[in-house]
Amino acid sequence: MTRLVTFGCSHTYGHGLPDCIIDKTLPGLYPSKLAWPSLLATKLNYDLYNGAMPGMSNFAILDIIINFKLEPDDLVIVLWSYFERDMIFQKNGRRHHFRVGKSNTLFFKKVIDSWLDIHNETDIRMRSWYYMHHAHLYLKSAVKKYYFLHVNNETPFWDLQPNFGKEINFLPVYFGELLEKYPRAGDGKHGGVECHIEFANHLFEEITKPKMV
Amino acid sequence: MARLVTFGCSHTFGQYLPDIQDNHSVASKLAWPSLLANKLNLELDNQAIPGISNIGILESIIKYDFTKEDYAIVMWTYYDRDRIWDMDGKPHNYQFAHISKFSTKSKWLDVHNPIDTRIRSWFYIHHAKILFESKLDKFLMLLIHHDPEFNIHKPYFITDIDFPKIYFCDYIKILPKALDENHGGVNCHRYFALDLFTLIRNMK
Repeated sequence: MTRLVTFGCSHTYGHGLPDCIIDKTLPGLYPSKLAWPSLLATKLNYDLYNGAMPGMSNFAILDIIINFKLEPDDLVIVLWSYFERDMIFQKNGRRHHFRVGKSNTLFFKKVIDSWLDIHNETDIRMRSWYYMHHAHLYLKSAVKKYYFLHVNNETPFWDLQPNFGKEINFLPVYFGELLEKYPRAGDGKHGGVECHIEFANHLFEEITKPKMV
Repeated sequence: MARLVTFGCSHTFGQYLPDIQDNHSVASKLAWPSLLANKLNLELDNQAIPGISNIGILESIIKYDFTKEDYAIVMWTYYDRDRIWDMDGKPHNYQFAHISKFSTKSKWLDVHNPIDTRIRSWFYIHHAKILFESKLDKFLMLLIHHDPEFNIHKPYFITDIDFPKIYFCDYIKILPKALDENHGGVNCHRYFALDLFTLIRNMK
């Protein structure tokens, strides 16, 4: 059976949905069965592996993609995350994921403060273009079909598009737009049940519509 | 005529060799890419840029208009370099170990420790490798120096990248230096090109 393999952040994981929330704030231990990847896999009649993780940066998503064992028949969908996130490898090689401006320890507050002095919004967006291009080339060589999506249709990101970015196709479906349209999930931040249903429907239409020749 | 296309930093550019001295506009004809191209009987396009970082080298590779017959050689540079895009989108390359402003250097080191910079370089190398495989029949990637730590931190996804055990910095250590007393001198480039030629011939 063909497999749908999805990568992304909490919006792909289904953080906050009724089957994926702990103590009204934290994500559940496993991806939600009510999240768009699960709904889409059912519509397509595919198996599903949801490789999303809450809090992931675009660098971390690339890291997960290239470390994942894909099969040539897999259908891969990547919902890239927000740009103000990054990942650094600590001295012991472990990964540290963070959102700029948010830290829960003093040590990482220092890291993030220094990060802000060195990097900036343009820099992190440009780096995202490299991560996406890397994933694009990798998936092109590994599977027959893959699709990229953004959370938001963000002008500053498109303004920075390098020539090599034009090789990459993104589906014109934005999770962020539906977030505003429907009631939020149980944590009050992430997309609720209806948001995921409509997103899965849009994606299904985009993926299955006949292509112009 | 098929081309040899080389990418790298000042050590591939031939900075401070007698024919160009500190001129940054034209790569040296005494540098190893030029000597190697002559031996291989290939035209040369040396795309090296002095002071560039590994992400900068990757950018040069991505932007380059290859033809299938090109033979690409990349000599990756030091890991303690990075490229930061400013708010206007202009890229700046830095070698953080050599930054004189203490505050900037210490902030960079707060974020990017030596392990982080090495693992990031593995990502750039992997990215370049996939690109080469999709565009070229022949390419070769080299490391500038032997760094056991680099292999220790090789990510799991790197399964088929083995670098030849030929390191430009080894030649710099034992042979006379260039005019700045820092970069490789004429003989350093000459012997490196010779050994690289032998390596390539044996690979064939």
